[in-house]
Amino acid sequence: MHSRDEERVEQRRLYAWLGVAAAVHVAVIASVVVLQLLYVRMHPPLKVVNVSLVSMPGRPGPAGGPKSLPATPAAVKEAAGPEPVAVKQVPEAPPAKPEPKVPEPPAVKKIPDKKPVVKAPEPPKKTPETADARKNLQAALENLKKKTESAPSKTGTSDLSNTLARLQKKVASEGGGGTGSSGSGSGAGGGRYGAGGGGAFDPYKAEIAGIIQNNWSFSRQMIRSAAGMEVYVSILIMPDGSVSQIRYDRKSTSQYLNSSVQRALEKSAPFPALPGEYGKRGIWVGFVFTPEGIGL
Amino acid sequence: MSEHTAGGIVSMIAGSGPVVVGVLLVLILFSIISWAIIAWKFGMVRKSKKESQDFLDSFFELQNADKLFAASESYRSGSLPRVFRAGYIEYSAMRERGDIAKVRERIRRAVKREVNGESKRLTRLVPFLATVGNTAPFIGLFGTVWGIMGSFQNIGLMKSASLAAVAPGISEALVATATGLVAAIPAVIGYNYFSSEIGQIERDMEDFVPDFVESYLNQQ
Repeated sequence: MHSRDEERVEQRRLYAWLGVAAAVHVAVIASVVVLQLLYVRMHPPLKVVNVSLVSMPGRPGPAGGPKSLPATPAAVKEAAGPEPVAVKQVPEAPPAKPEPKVPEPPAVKKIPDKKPVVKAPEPPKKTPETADARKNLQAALENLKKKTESAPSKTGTSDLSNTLARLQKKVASEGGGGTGSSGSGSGAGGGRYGAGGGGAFDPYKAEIAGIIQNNWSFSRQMIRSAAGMEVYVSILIMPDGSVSQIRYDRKSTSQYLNSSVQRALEKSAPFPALPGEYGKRGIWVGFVFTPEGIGL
Repeated sequence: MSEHTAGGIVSMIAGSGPVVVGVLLVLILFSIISWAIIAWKFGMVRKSKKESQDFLDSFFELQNADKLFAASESYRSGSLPRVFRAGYIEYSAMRERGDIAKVRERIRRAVKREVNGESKRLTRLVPFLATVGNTAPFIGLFGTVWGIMGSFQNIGLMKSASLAAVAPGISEALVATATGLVAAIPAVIGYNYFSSEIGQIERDMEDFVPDFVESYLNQQ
Protein backbone atom coordinates (compact mmCIF):
# COMPACT_ATOMS: atom_id res chain seq x y z
CA MET A 1 0.00 0.00 0.00
CA HIS A 2 1.45 3.33 -0.93
CA SER A 3 0.19 6.72 -0.01
CA ARG A 4 -0.66 9.54 -2.36
CA ASP A 5 2.42 11.38 -1.22
CA GLU A 6 4.57 8.59 -2.56
CA GLU A 7 2.68 8.72 -5.83
CA ARG A 8 3.24 12.44 -6.05
CA VAL A 9 6.94 11.99 -5.37
CA GLU A 10 7.13 9.42 -8.12
CA GLN A 11 5.28 11.69 -10.53
CA ARG A 12 7.60 14.53 -9.67
CA ARG A 13 10.52 12.23 -10.40
CA LEU A 14 9.00 11.35 -13.75
CA TYR A 15 8.62 15.03 -14.64
CA ALA A 16 12.17 15.69 -13.57
CA TRP A 17 13.37 12.90 -15.82
CA LEU A 18 11.27 14.30 -18.65
CA GLY A 19 13.03 17.63 -18.24
CA VAL A 20 16.40 15.94 -18.16
CA ALA A 21 15.59 13.87 -21.24
CA ALA A 22 14.41 16.96 -23.11
CA ALA A 23 17.56 18.84 -22.15
CA VAL A 24 19.75 15.92 -23.23
CA HIS A 25 17.93 15.68 -26.56
CA VAL A 26 18.36 19.39 -27.16
CA ALA A 27 22.05 19.08 -26.25
CA VAL A 28 22.54 16.09 -28.55
CA ILE A 29 20.79 17.77 -31.47
CA ALA A 30 22.74 20.99 -30.89
CA SER A 31 26.03 19.12 -30.70
CA VAL A 32 25.23 17.23 -33.92
CA VAL A 33 24.48 20.51 -35.67
CA VAL A 34 27.58 22.21 -34.30
CA LEU A 35 29.80 19.24 -35.16
CA GLN A 36 28.47 19.15 -38.69
CA LEU A 37 29.00 22.85 -39.15
CA LEU A 38 32.51 22.51 -37.77
CA TYR A 39 33.17 19.57 -40.05
CA VAL A 40 31.96 21.50 -43.05
CA ARG A 41 34.08 24.46 -42.03
CA MET A 42 37.16 22.29 -41.53
CA HIS A 43 36.58 20.33 -44.74
CA PRO A 44 35.06 22.76 -47.22
CA PRO A 45 33.61 21.02 -50.28
CA LEU A 46 36.14 21.04 -53.07
CA LYS A 47 35.25 22.89 -56.20
CA VAL A 48 34.73 20.52 -59.06
CA VAL A 49 36.32 21.76 -62.23
CA ASN A 50 35.60 19.63 -65.26
CA VAL A 51 38.41 19.98 -67.72
CA SER A 52 37.90 18.54 -71.14
CA LEU A 53 41.20 17.78 -72.78
CA VAL A 54 39.58 17.35 -76.15
CA SER A 55 39.22 20.60 -77.99
CA MET A 56 40.12 22.16 -81.26
CA PRO A 57 43.38 24.06 -80.98
CA GLY A 58 42.74 27.73 -80.56
CA ARG A 59 39.02 27.21 -80.13
CA PRO A 60 37.78 28.10 -76.66
CA GLY A 61 36.51 24.98 -74.98
CA PRO A 62 33.94 24.60 -72.24
CA ALA A 63 36.49 24.29 -69.48
CA GLY A 64 38.97 26.93 -70.59
CA GLY A 65 42.21 26.58 -68.67
CA PRO A 66 44.62 24.34 -70.45
CA LYS A 67 42.92 24.73 -73.77
CA SER A 68 44.57 28.00 -74.49
CA LEU A 69 47.93 26.27 -74.51
CA PRO A 70 47.39 23.92 -77.43
CA ALA A 71 47.33 26.91 -79.71
CA THR A 72 51.08 27.19 -79.35
CA PRO A 73 52.05 24.10 -81.36
CA ALA A 74 49.67 25.06 -84.11
CA ALA A 75 51.09 28.52 -84.33
CA VAL A 76 54.56 27.12 -84.35
CA LYS A 77 53.57 24.72 -87.03
CA GLU A 78 52.51 27.57 -89.24
CA ALA A 79 55.64 29.50 -88.47
CA ALA A 80 57.88 26.57 -89.28
CA GLY A 81 56.35 26.31 -92.72
CA PRO A 82 57.40 23.34 -94.82
CA GLU A 83 59.06 21.44 -91.97
CA PRO A 84 56.24 20.27 -89.72
CA VAL A 85 58.33 17.66 -87.95
CA ALA A 86 60.78 20.19 -86.69
CA VAL A 87 57.97 22.00 -84.95
CA LYS A 88 57.76 19.23 -82.44
CA GLN A 89 61.10 20.28 -81.18
CA VAL A 90 59.76 23.64 -80.12
CA PRO A 91 58.83 22.84 -76.52
CA GLU A 92 62.30 21.46 -75.96
CA ALA A 93 64.41 24.42 -75.10
CA PRO A 94 67.81 22.71 -74.56
CA PRO A 95 68.94 22.68 -78.21
CA ALA A 96 68.97 26.44 -78.29
CA LYS A 97 70.97 26.86 -75.14
CA PRO A 98 74.57 27.59 -75.85
CA GLU A 99 75.83 26.77 -72.36
CA PRO A 100 78.28 23.90 -72.48
CA LYS A 101 76.95 22.50 -69.18
CA VAL A 102 73.46 22.15 -70.52
CA PRO A 103 72.98 18.84 -72.38
CA GLU A 104 72.93 19.67 -76.02
CA PRO A 105 70.88 17.80 -78.52
CA PRO A 106 72.82 15.18 -80.41
CA ALA A 107 71.74 16.66 -83.69
CA VAL A 108 73.71 19.79 -82.94
CA LYS A 109 76.68 17.82 -81.76
CA LYS A 110 76.90 15.96 -85.02
CA ILE A 111 77.32 19.15 -86.98
CA PRO A 112 80.91 19.33 -88.24
CA ASP A 113 81.60 22.78 -86.92
CA LYS A 114 80.14 23.04 -83.50
CA LYS A 115 81.57 26.37 -82.41
CA PRO A 116 79.18 28.60 -84.30
CA VAL A 117 76.27 26.75 -82.83
CA VAL A 118 77.58 27.06 -79.31
CA LYS A 119 78.33 30.73 -79.55
CA ALA A 120 75.30 31.77 -81.46
CA PRO A 121 72.18 32.52 -79.38
CA GLU A 122 73.27 34.11 -76.17
CA PRO A 123 70.38 36.39 -75.10
CA PRO A 124 67.57 33.84 -74.85
CA LYS A 125 69.35 31.43 -72.51
CA LYS A 126 67.75 32.98 -69.42
CA THR A 127 64.18 32.34 -70.51
CA PRO A 128 63.19 28.71 -70.70
CA GLU A 129 59.67 29.41 -71.93
CA THR A 130 58.36 27.99 -75.11
CA ALA A 131 58.28 31.16 -77.13
CA ASP A 132 61.84 31.97 -76.26
CA ALA A 133 62.91 28.45 -76.99
CA ARG A 134 61.35 28.77 -80.38
CA LYS A 135 63.22 31.99 -81.00
CA ASN A 136 66.40 30.35 -79.83
CA LEU A 137 65.93 27.49 -82.19
CA GLN A 138 65.19 29.76 -85.09
CA ALA A 139 68.16 31.93 -84.26
CA ALA A 140 70.36 28.86 -84.03
CA LEU A 141 69.11 27.62 -87.34
CA GLU A 142 69.68 30.99 -88.94
CA ASN A 143 73.14 31.15 -87.51
CA LEU A 144 73.89 27.64 -88.64
CA LYS A 145 72.62 28.46 -92.08
CA LYS A 146 74.83 31.51 -92.34
CA LYS A 147 77.91 29.64 -91.18
CA THR A 148 77.40 26.71 -93.44
CA GLU A 149 76.78 28.98 -96.40
CA SER A 150 79.91 30.97 -95.72
CA ALA A 151 82.08 27.93 -95.13
CA PRO A 152 83.17 25.91 -98.18
CA SER A 153 81.51 22.56 -98.41
CA LYS A 154 83.92 19.64 -98.31
CA THR A 155 81.55 16.98 -99.52
CA GLY A 156 80.02 18.99 -102.25
CA THR A 157 76.55 18.84 -100.79
CA SER A 158 75.17 21.32 -98.32
CA ASP A 159 76.03 20.58 -94.71
CA LEU A 160 73.03 22.56 -93.73
CA SER A 161 70.68 20.18 -95.46
CA ASN A 162 72.43 17.22 -93.80
CA THR A 163 72.24 18.87 -90.47
CA LEU A 164 68.65 19.73 -90.89
CA ALA A 165 67.89 16.22 -92.03
CA ARG A 166 69.57 14.81 -88.93
CA LEU A 167 67.78 17.31 -86.81
CA GLN A 168 64.47 16.36 -88.35
CA LYS A 169 65.20 12.68 -87.82
CA LYS A 170 66.11 13.29 -84.24
CA VAL A 171 63.07 15.39 -83.60
CA ALA A 172 60.85 12.85 -85.31
CA SER A 173 62.21 10.11 -83.09
CA GLU A 174 61.57 12.16 -79.97
CA GLY A 175 58.36 13.84 -81.04
CA GLY A 176 55.91 11.32 -79.55
CA GLY A 177 57.52 11.30 -76.18
CA GLY A 178 56.82 14.85 -75.21
CA THR A 179 55.74 15.55 -71.71
CA GLY A 180 52.69 17.32 -72.92
CA SER A 181 53.11 20.18 -70.55
CA SER A 182 52.31 22.56 -73.31
CA GLY A 183 50.54 20.18 -75.64
CA SER A 184 46.88 19.78 -76.17
CA GLY A 185 46.50 16.17 -75.08
CA SER A 186 47.28 14.20 -72.01
CA GLY A 187 50.85 13.73 -73.07
CA ALA A 188 50.90 10.21 -71.81
CA GLY A 189 53.87 9.20 -73.86
CA GLY A 190 54.49 7.39 -77.07
CA GLY A 191 52.35 5.01 -79.05
CA ARG A 192 48.74 5.63 -79.79
CA TYR A 193 48.23 7.77 -76.71
CA GLY A 194 51.07 10.17 -77.33
CA ALA A 195 49.55 12.22 -80.07
CA GLY A 196 48.75 15.10 -77.78
CA GLY A 197 52.28 15.73 -76.62
CA GLY A 198 53.00 18.46 -79.05
CA GLY A 199 52.13 16.33 -82.06
CA ALA A 200 50.47 17.58 -85.19
CA PHE A 201 46.79 18.22 -84.80
CA ASP A 202 44.65 15.55 -86.35
CA PRO A 203 41.17 16.90 -87.07
CA TYR A 204 39.69 13.45 -87.64
CA LYS A 205 40.87 12.15 -84.29
CA ALA A 206 39.71 15.31 -82.59
CA GLU A 207 36.33 14.88 -84.23
CA ILE A 208 35.85 11.32 -83.03
CA ALA A 209 37.11 12.31 -79.61
CA GLY A 210 34.45 14.99 -79.56
CA ILE A 211 31.80 12.46 -80.59
CA ILE A 212 32.83 10.12 -77.79
CA GLN A 213 32.96 12.98 -75.32
CA ASN A 214 29.41 13.94 -76.21
CA ASN A 215 28.21 10.38 -75.73
CA TRP A 216 30.14 9.86 -72.52
CA SER A 217 27.93 10.25 -69.47
CA PHE A 218 30.10 10.23 -66.40
CA SER A 219 29.76 12.05 -63.12
CA ARG A 220 32.89 12.71 -61.13
CA GLN A 221 30.84 12.83 -57.95
CA MET A 222 30.15 9.12 -58.29
CA ILE A 223 33.74 8.17 -57.57
CA ARG A 224 35.44 8.69 -54.26
CA SER A 225 39.09 8.70 -55.19
CA ALA A 226 40.82 9.87 -58.34
CA ALA A 227 43.64 7.38 -57.87
CA GLY A 228 43.91 4.88 -60.70
CA MET A 229 41.02 6.45 -62.56
CA GLU A 230 42.41 6.06 -66.05
CA VAL A 231 41.10 3.88 -68.83
CA TYR A 232 43.35 3.40 -71.84
CA VAL A 233 41.35 2.27 -74.83
CA SER A 234 42.40 1.67 -78.40
CA ILE A 235 39.86 1.36 -81.14
CA LEU A 236 40.42 0.21 -84.68
CA ILE A 237 38.44 2.42 -87.02
CA MET A 238 37.81 1.00 -90.44
CA PRO A 239 37.70 3.20 -93.59
CA ASP A 240 33.90 3.28 -93.50
CA GLY A 241 33.99 4.59 -89.94
CA SER A 242 32.92 1.38 -88.26
CA VAL A 243 34.79 0.13 -85.23
CA SER A 244 36.12 -3.33 -85.78
CA GLN A 245 38.02 -3.75 -82.55
CA ILE A 246 38.09 -2.21 -79.09
CA ARG A 247 41.02 -2.97 -76.90
CA TYR A 248 41.31 -1.98 -73.25
CA ASP A 249 44.98 -1.48 -72.65
CA ARG A 250 44.36 -0.52 -69.06
CA LYS A 251 41.21 -0.38 -67.02
CA SER A 252 40.54 1.75 -63.98
CA THR A 253 39.70 0.51 -60.53
CA SER A 254 36.20 1.92 -60.85
CA GLN A 255 33.70 -0.33 -62.55
CA TYR A 256 31.52 2.72 -63.03
CA LEU A 257 34.19 4.49 -65.10
CA ASN A 258 34.96 1.33 -67.09
CA SER A 259 31.35 0.69 -67.98
CA SER A 260 30.72 4.36 -68.79
CA VAL A 261 33.63 4.24 -71.26
CA GLN A 262 32.25 1.09 -72.82
CA ARG A 263 28.81 2.63 -73.16
CA ALA A 264 30.26 5.80 -74.67
CA LEU A 265 32.15 3.82 -77.31
CA GLU A 266 29.12 1.70 -78.10
CA LYS A 267 26.97 4.79 -78.44
CA SER A 268 29.49 6.65 -80.56
CA ALA A 269 30.07 3.98 -83.19
CA PRO A 270 29.99 4.17 -86.16
CA PHE A 271 32.23 7.17 -86.64
CA PRO A 272 32.49 9.31 -89.77
CA ALA A 273 34.28 7.59 -92.62
CA LEU A 274 38.05 7.78 -92.56
CA PRO A 275 39.65 10.40 -94.78
CA GLY A 276 41.46 8.95 -97.73
CA GLU A 277 44.89 9.79 -96.37
CA TYR A 278 44.60 7.04 -93.76
CA GLY A 279 44.54 4.29 -96.34
CA LYS A 280 42.24 1.33 -96.55
CA ARG A 281 43.42 -0.70 -93.61
CA GLY A 282 41.88 1.48 -90.94
CA ILE A 283 43.66 3.17 -88.06
CA TRP A 284 44.15 2.51 -84.39
CA VAL A 285 43.22 5.46 -82.23
CA GLY A 286 43.99 5.51 -78.54
CA PHE A 287 42.10 7.41 -75.88
CA VAL A 288 42.73 8.01 -72.24
CA PHE A 289 39.55 8.40 -70.22
CA THR A 290 40.02 10.15 -66.92
CA PRO A 291 37.46 11.80 -64.62
CA GLU A 292 38.70 15.10 -66.05
CA GLY A 293 37.90 14.19 -69.63
CA ILE A 294 39.14 12.32 -72.65
CA GLY A 295 42.68 12.60 -73.88
CA LEU A 296 43.98 11.48 -77.23
CA MET B 1 22.81 18.67 -53.65
CA SER B 2 26.02 20.32 -52.61
CA GLU B 3 24.01 22.65 -50.42
CA HIS B 4 22.60 19.72 -48.58
CA THR B 5 25.92 18.09 -48.07
CA ALA B 6 27.46 21.36 -47.03
CA GLY B 7 24.77 22.28 -44.53
CA GLY B 8 24.38 18.76 -43.24
CA ILE B 9 21.33 17.51 -41.43
CA VAL B 10 20.06 21.01 -40.58
CA SER B 11 19.65 22.07 -44.18
CA MET B 12 18.15 18.68 -44.99
CA ILE B 13 15.48 19.15 -42.31
CA ALA B 14 14.98 22.78 -43.32
CA GLY B 15 14.33 21.63 -46.87
CA SER B 16 11.73 19.08 -45.79
CA GLY B 17 8.00 19.59 -46.07
CA PRO B 18 5.68 20.28 -43.11
CA VAL B 19 4.54 16.65 -42.90
CA VAL B 20 8.09 15.37 -42.58
CA VAL B 21 8.89 18.06 -40.02
CA GLY B 22 5.76 17.10 -38.06
CA VAL B 23 6.75 13.46 -38.14
CA LEU B 24 10.22 14.37 -36.90
CA LEU B 25 8.77 16.40 -34.03
CA VAL B 26 6.48 13.54 -32.99
CA LEU B 27 9.37 11.12 -33.07
CA ILE B 28 11.59 13.43 -31.04
CA LEU B 29 8.78 13.79 -28.49
CA PHE B 30 8.44 10.00 -28.36
CA SER B 31 12.15 9.69 -27.86
CA ILE B 32 12.16 12.22 -25.00
CA ILE B 33 9.29 10.47 -23.21
CA SER B 34 10.86 7.05 -23.79
CA TRP B 35 14.17 8.09 -22.32
CA ALA B 36 12.45 9.72 -19.35
CA ILE B 37 10.47 6.55 -18.67
CA ILE B 38 13.58 4.42 -19.08
CA ALA B 39 15.51 6.52 -16.58
CA TRP B 40 12.62 6.72 -14.16
CA LYS B 41 11.82 3.02 -14.28
CA PHE B 42 15.43 2.02 -14.12
CA GLY B 43 15.82 3.81 -10.79
CA MET B 44 12.52 2.48 -9.50
CA VAL B 45 13.13 -1.16 -10.42
CA ARG B 46 16.69 -1.12 -9.20
CA LYS B 47 15.71 0.38 -5.85
CA SER B 48 12.81 -2.04 -5.48
CA LYS B 49 15.03 -5.05 -6.11
CA LYS B 50 17.73 -3.85 -3.76
CA GLU B 51 15.35 -3.07 -0.91
CA SER B 52 13.50 -6.36 -1.43
CA GLN B 53 16.76 -8.23 -1.17
CA ASP B 54 17.72 -6.37 2.00
CA PHE B 55 14.27 -7.01 3.49
CA LEU B 56 14.50 -10.71 2.70
CA ASP B 57 17.79 -10.86 4.57
CA SER B 58 16.06 -9.31 7.58
CA PHE B 59 13.07 -11.64 7.11
CA PHE B 60 15.16 -14.78 7.33
CA GLU B 61 17.15 -13.34 10.18
CA LEU B 62 14.41 -12.02 12.48
CA GLN B 63 11.41 -14.36 11.98
CA ASN B 64 9.27 -12.02 14.06
CA ALA B 65 6.43 -10.16 12.37
CA ASP B 66 6.49 -7.14 14.71
CA LYS B 67 10.21 -6.66 14.33
CA LEU B 68 9.99 -7.26 10.61
CA PHE B 69 7.31 -4.63 10.32
CA ALA B 70 9.54 -2.18 12.13
CA ALA B 71 12.41 -3.11 9.84
CA SER B 72 10.24 -2.79 6.72
CA GLU B 73 9.66 0.89 7.50
CA SER B 74 13.14 1.61 6.23
CA TYR B 75 12.44 -0.17 2.92
CA ARG B 76 9.55 1.88 1.62
CA SER B 77 10.33 1.48 -2.06
CA GLY B 78 10.89 -2.27 -2.06
CA SER B 79 8.08 -4.46 -3.40
CA LEU B 80 8.42 -7.28 -0.88
CA PRO B 81 8.47 -4.96 2.18
CA ARG B 82 5.34 -3.25 0.83
CA VAL B 83 3.55 -6.55 0.46
CA PHE B 84 4.69 -7.61 3.90
CA ARG B 85 3.44 -4.38 5.45
CA ALA B 86 0.06 -4.72 3.76
CA GLY B 87 -0.33 -8.23 5.16
CA TYR B 88 0.86 -7.17 8.58
CA ILE B 89 -1.62 -4.27 8.77
CA GLU B 90 -4.45 -6.64 7.90
CA TYR B 91 -3.19 -9.13 10.45
CA SER B 92 -3.03 -6.42 13.13
CA ALA B 93 -6.65 -5.52 12.46
CA MET B 94 -7.78 -9.16 12.62
CA ARG B 95 -5.47 -10.24 15.40
CA GLU B 96 -8.15 -10.19 18.11
CA ARG B 97 -10.54 -12.39 16.17
CA GLY B 98 -10.22 -16.06 16.97
CA ASP B 99 -11.12 -17.60 13.62
CA ILE B 100 -7.69 -18.35 12.18
CA ALA B 101 -9.01 -19.59 8.84
CA LYS B 102 -10.91 -16.36 8.34
CA VAL B 103 -7.93 -14.28 9.39
CA ARG B 104 -5.69 -16.22 7.04
CA GLU B 105 -8.11 -15.67 4.20
CA ARG B 106 -8.35 -11.94 4.89
CA ILE B 107 -4.58 -11.61 5.08
CA ARG B 108 -4.20 -13.54 1.86
CA ARG B 109 -6.61 -11.25 0.08
CA ALA B 110 -4.91 -8.14 1.40
CA VAL B 111 -1.51 -9.44 0.30
CA LYS B 112 -2.89 -10.36 -3.11
CA ARG B 113 -4.28 -6.85 -3.52
CA GLU B 114 -0.95 -5.36 -2.64
CA VAL B 115 0.86 -7.66 -5.06
CA ASN B 116 -1.45 -6.50 -7.83
CA GLY B 117 -1.02 -2.87 -6.83
CA GLU B 118 2.72 -3.28 -6.77
CA SER B 119 2.70 -4.91 -10.22
CA LYS B 120 0.62 -2.03 -11.50
CA ARG B 121 3.00 0.51 -9.98
CA LEU B 122 6.04 -1.17 -11.46
CA THR B 123 4.59 -1.65 -14.94
CA ARG B 124 3.12 1.85 -15.15
CA LEU B 125 4.12 3.56 -18.44
CA VAL B 126 6.25 0.58 -19.47
CA PRO B 127 3.80 -0.32 -22.28
CA PHE B 128 4.48 3.12 -23.73
CA LEU B 129 7.98 1.90 -24.48
CA ALA B 130 6.51 -1.03 -26.41
CA THR B 131 4.24 1.37 -28.27
CA VAL B 132 7.16 3.58 -29.24
CA GLY B 133 9.26 0.57 -30.19
CA ASN B 134 6.53 -0.74 -32.45
CA THR B 135 5.20 2.44 -33.99
CA ALA B 136 8.17 4.79 -34.26
CA PRO B 137 9.73 3.00 -37.28
CA PHE B 138 6.39 3.09 -39.03
CA ILE B 139 5.86 6.75 -38.25
CA GLY B 140 9.35 7.43 -39.60
CA LEU B 141 8.57 5.33 -42.65
CA PHE B 142 5.44 7.38 -43.20
CA GLY B 143 7.55 10.54 -43.22
CA THR B 144 9.95 8.91 -45.66
CA VAL B 145 7.19 7.81 -48.00
CA TRP B 146 5.72 11.29 -47.88
CA GLY B 147 9.09 12.85 -48.64
CA ILE B 148 9.71 10.47 -51.53
CA MET B 149 6.32 11.37 -52.92
CA GLY B 150 7.47 14.99 -52.91
CA SER B 151 10.74 14.13 -54.59
CA PHE B 152 8.90 12.24 -57.32
CA GLN B 153 6.77 15.30 -57.83
CA ASN B 154 9.98 17.29 -58.20
CA ILE B 155 11.16 14.85 -60.83
CA GLY B 156 7.99 15.54 -62.75
CA LEU B 157 8.31 19.29 -62.37
CA MET B 158 11.98 19.41 -63.29
CA LYS B 159 11.45 16.92 -66.11
CA SER B 160 14.66 15.28 -65.09
CA ALA B 161 15.36 11.97 -63.40
CA SER B 162 18.93 12.89 -62.66
CA LEU B 163 20.53 12.29 -59.30
CA ALA B 164 20.51 16.00 -58.64
CA ALA B 165 16.72 16.04 -58.89
CA VAL B 166 16.01 12.84 -56.95
CA ALA B 167 18.71 12.48 -54.31
CA PRO B 168 18.06 15.54 -52.10
CA GLY B 169 14.39 14.67 -51.61
CA ILE B 170 15.18 11.08 -50.79
CA SER B 171 17.94 12.00 -48.36
CA GLU B 172 15.59 14.44 -46.62
CA ALA B 173 12.93 11.80 -46.44
CA LEU B 174 15.28 9.19 -45.03
CA VAL B 175 16.00 11.42 -42.04
CA ALA B 176 12.50 10.54 -40.82
CA THR B 177 13.20 6.80 -40.93
CA ALA B 178 16.51 7.30 -39.17
CA THR B 179 14.82 9.34 -36.43
CA GLY B 180 12.16 6.66 -36.06
CA LEU B 181 14.83 4.03 -35.54
CA VAL B 182 16.68 6.27 -33.08
CA ALA B 183 13.49 6.56 -31.04
CA ALA B 184 12.50 2.90 -31.36
CA ILE B 185 15.73 1.09 -30.59
CA PRO B 186 16.23 2.31 -26.99
CA ALA B 187 12.50 1.94 -26.34
CA VAL B 188 12.53 -1.72 -27.39
CA ILE B 189 15.67 -2.42 -25.39
CA GLY B 190 14.18 -0.70 -22.33
CA TYR B 191 10.87 -2.50 -22.70
CA ASN B 192 12.53 -5.91 -22.86
CA TYR B 193 14.74 -5.13 -19.88
CA PHE B 194 11.89 -3.85 -17.69
CA SER B 195 9.59 -6.68 -18.70
CA SER B 196 12.18 -9.15 -17.55
CA GLU B 197 13.01 -7.34 -14.31
CA ILE B 198 9.40 -6.65 -13.33
CA GLY B 199 8.45 -10.24 -14.12
CA GLN B 200 11.18 -11.39 -11.77
CA ILE B 201 9.93 -9.09 -8.98
CA GLU B 202 6.36 -10.35 -9.50
CA ARG B 203 7.50 -13.95 -9.24
CA ASP B 204 9.37 -13.11 -6.03
CA MET B 205 6.22 -11.56 -4.57
CA GLU B 206 4.11 -14.59 -5.53
CA ASP B 207 6.68 -16.89 -3.99
CA PHE B 208 6.92 -15.11 -0.65
CA VAL B 209 3.23 -14.46 -0.04
CA PRO B 210 2.63 -17.82 1.73
CA ASP B 211 5.77 -17.33 3.83
CA PHE B 212 4.61 -13.91 4.93
CA VAL B 213 1.15 -15.20 5.90
CA GLU B 214 2.68 -18.00 7.90
CA SER B 215 5.06 -15.62 9.62
CA TYR B 216 2.15 -13.52 10.93
CA LEU B 217 0.17 -16.49 12.20
CA ASN B 218 3.03 -18.48 13.64
CA GLN B 219 4.08 -15.83 16.12
CA GLN B 220 0.80 -16.07 18.05
